[in-house]
Amino acid sequence: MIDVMLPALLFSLPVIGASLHLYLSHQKNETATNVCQIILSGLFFLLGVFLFVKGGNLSVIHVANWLAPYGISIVFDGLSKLMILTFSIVMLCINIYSLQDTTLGCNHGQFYAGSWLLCLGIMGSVSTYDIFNLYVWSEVMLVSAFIILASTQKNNIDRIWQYALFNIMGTLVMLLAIALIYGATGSLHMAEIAKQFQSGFTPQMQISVMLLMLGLAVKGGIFPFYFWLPDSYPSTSASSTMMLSSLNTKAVMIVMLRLVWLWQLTQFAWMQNAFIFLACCTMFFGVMGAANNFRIRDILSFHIVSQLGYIFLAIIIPSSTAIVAVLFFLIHNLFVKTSLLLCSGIIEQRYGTCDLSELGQIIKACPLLAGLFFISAMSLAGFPPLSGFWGKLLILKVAYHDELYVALLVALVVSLFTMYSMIKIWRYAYCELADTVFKDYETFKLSKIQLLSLVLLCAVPLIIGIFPNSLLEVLSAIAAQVSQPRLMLDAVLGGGV
Amino acid sequence: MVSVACAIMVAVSVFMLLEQDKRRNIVGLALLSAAINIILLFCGKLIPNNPAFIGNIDFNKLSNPVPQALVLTAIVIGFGLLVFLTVLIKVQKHD
Repeated sequence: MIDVMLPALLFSLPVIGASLHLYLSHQKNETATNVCQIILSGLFFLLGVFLFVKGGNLSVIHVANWLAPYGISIVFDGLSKLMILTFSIVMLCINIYSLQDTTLGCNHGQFYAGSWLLCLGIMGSVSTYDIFNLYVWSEVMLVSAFIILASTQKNNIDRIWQYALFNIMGTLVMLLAIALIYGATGSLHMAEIAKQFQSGFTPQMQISVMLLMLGLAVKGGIFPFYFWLPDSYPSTSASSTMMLSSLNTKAVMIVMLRLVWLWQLTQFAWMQNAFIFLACCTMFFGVMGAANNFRIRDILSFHIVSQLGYIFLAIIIPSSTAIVAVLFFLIHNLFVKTSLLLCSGIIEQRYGTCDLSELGQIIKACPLLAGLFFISAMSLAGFPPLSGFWGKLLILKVAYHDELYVALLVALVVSLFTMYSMIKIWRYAYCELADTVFKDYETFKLSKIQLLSLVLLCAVPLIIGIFPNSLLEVLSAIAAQVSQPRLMLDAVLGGGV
Repeated sequence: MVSVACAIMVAVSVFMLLEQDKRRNIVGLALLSAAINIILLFCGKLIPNNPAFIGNIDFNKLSNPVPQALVLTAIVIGFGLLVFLTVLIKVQKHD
């Protein structure tokens, strides 16, 4: 009973949240909107914890009792449960912050409704086992990302346009790939397709699978198609950037991880080499873009791209340690990147700009903010007692064991440049005097809500960094499940609830 | 025939998407999604002039209903996105 009820509750909560907010934003009742949002996201967090702890090893739901190769299967394995839990924690932190985010514009309800829909799309896409269903969920994510991007005071329609065109093209390429895969195998169920792939991989199948990966890469922001991301993400409010960067792009990576392992794509050397090449380029060009930018949020958005490269590199390496590395790095990056963006949001609210040449001496104005930023920035750069160090170490170790020395070198160089741009922000925004003195640098204090969300987000990398073993244990149990696709296939295809 | 038609549609849509004008971009996207929908429809076992369920007893001559359902979903989603983009242009004009 709990196997069916819990997912049903999980999927209905975002729908209820979105419709409630659309109603409340019509009523223009701000207090009710805020209270409702905090209660709902708290509830969602509790459900996520409950699913993770009590959800059992693997639960398969056949929608409307259509059995496995014919119907749609929703699978809650360790991977999707972990991701739903992580997303719910991050979403709670972002929602606490967005209560006081003035850059969101007057209507917070629109942002909340969009974020619930995004959450729904992400839960669907990390847990579905049907490729056409995956396409539908990614469209849900796309439309809600439009709503989130539009919830700002600025007029950023040109930037939304960039986002819209590239992502719609990405989903269309995905749809084309799905059509070709269906034509080649006669099935839409990932597990059934995986069974057919085991018995033989024709060149047509390889190309259509690569096309599906291409569509996902466009949506995720991998090297040749990344330029929409640093263009559109900083153009909106800080809360929206956090929501999109932490939920949207990371969910695509999880889907890629699942497909690569389920369909055993690492058996093809050409695919592996292509992935590794793209991963190195993503890392390098992302960090280079950050190096010659001078607005904090633009720099951080380029770093989103560069960090995706690390994840992408570890996705294609065929060992179960690589899965641990992917998940560890992803969780670390979720929290660290969100807290950095949150710092930039607070700065932007206070000074009305995030241009490094106009900022200065925040360390004197608000030492607490500077300290919390410092923790996150050092964690992103990968300094030892913090989570970034372990994440990078795991990925480098995996690359070393797989003898990818060039990728190893690129990752190390990129990490140096990450350090460089973090120092750049630290020096210009926090330490030095501004070039143009246009604001009084009197001291200010963080409000309680800002402090709460920032401390929550900064505490996680610290705790993970100091005690990595307990997280590593959980992750290696999940990695053991993901790295044995045959067992998963049998469990999904045979029987179920 | 169908593949040639799809190829032409994709070519035209790429041309439209590369232009600066946003209205032309929308038309390009509409064409691209139409072309991909046709490919989706013809990837399954589709027999022209034969319905999926009605009137046929010979199972070898039945059309596959799955791609028809898929293409219906894809058309509806694509239409929704196009409407959103059109509204976006309209909003920009008012500013």
